[in-house]
Amino acid sequence: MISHPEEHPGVAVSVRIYRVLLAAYPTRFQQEYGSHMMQVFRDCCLRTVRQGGMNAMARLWAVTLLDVVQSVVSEHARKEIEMKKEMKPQDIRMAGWALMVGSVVFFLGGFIGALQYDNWYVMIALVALISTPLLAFGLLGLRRRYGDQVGGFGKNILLTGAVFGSLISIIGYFGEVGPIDGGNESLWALIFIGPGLLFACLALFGVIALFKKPLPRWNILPILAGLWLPLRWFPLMIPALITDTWSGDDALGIADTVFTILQFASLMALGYILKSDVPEESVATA
Amino acid sequence: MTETLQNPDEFLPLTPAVFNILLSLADGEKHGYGIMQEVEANTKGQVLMGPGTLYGSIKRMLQADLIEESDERADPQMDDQRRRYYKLTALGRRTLRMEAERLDEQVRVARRKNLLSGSTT
Repeated sequence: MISHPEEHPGVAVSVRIYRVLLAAYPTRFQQEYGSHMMQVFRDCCLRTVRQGGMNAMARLWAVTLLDVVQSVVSEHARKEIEMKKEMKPQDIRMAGWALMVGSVVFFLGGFIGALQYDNWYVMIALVALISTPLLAFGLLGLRRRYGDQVGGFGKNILLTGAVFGSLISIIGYFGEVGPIDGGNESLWALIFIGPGLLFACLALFGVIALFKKPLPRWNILPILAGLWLPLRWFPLMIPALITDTWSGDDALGIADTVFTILQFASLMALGYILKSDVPEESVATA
Repeated sequence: MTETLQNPDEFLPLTPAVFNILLSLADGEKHGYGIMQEVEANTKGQVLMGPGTLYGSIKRMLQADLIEESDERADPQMDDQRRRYYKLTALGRRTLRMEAERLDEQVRVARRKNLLSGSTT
């Protein structure tokens, strides 16, 4: 047996980050192949460090990230095809409930954070660990229910928002509180960029919904439910991610409050429509 | 048996990833990293498969009965971690042969049109 050289710290960090990325794959695929994929990635890292040092690791990561994006989209698309045979009406109803509960938790987190700065960690835990995954499930429910009416772009934009929105937020959370890199301060902005991306994708779906009208009523809702927070956050969060300094105004203005409440109400209404709009043939077979 | 019922024609043409994985298994069973190394070597680095593409393809090839799991054991050349090995099924071997013949025919056409060195003029 040939033993490994002492594992390089760059390899250990890379494998830990890769383990987090595996969360983007469908659960069944992850359970079946996740450990083998990590083993193969670790072998690739060890060979790369041995042959080309840390510079070659950058190239390996470029290839790996492209592979992750391609295969995550591919596996979710295939899962979608399988789900069409398996998805039950209660799953669509649950996705509607997830949108409503996720939006309540999200805005509750924001309210708690705005009330007192000491509650910062409660707020980010509510946003990253509870609300964003629930909202992501809601987006997948919208995709399942209305995907056929909005076409390929509409379906893919909802999938992108659901998968990468929640993943980015969770990476930001674990970067902020420690496990990934001992508490990397520059990662905190990801906690909000994740849901920002999710809402932006919902707003883009909303643009398509305005023309194709997949909802039984109020097709303006997806755009209202998604547009405001990305507009408010991205100009603040992206510079903060790069410079690790916050230059925004934390005080809530009247317009800010009104648009935030409008977005919350739209998300709730969208969730209500989704949970109430289960296809009749599905109800009959439920 | 599924293998005797299924026609290799249904799978043709194969994607580059599936063809290269089947080709790497043609001379014996391998684990995931072994497949990846062989594909890289066979294509002189032109086909680079990440773990996601590799195991996504393996999953579909298992479902199509083109390959099967052999067993899980340590590779004496690597380390003491247990690895899952894969091997070709009879259907996989027939499919690989038919795809190789199809590609060979394409190369002959290219040669007839003087696109390759060694072409008859």
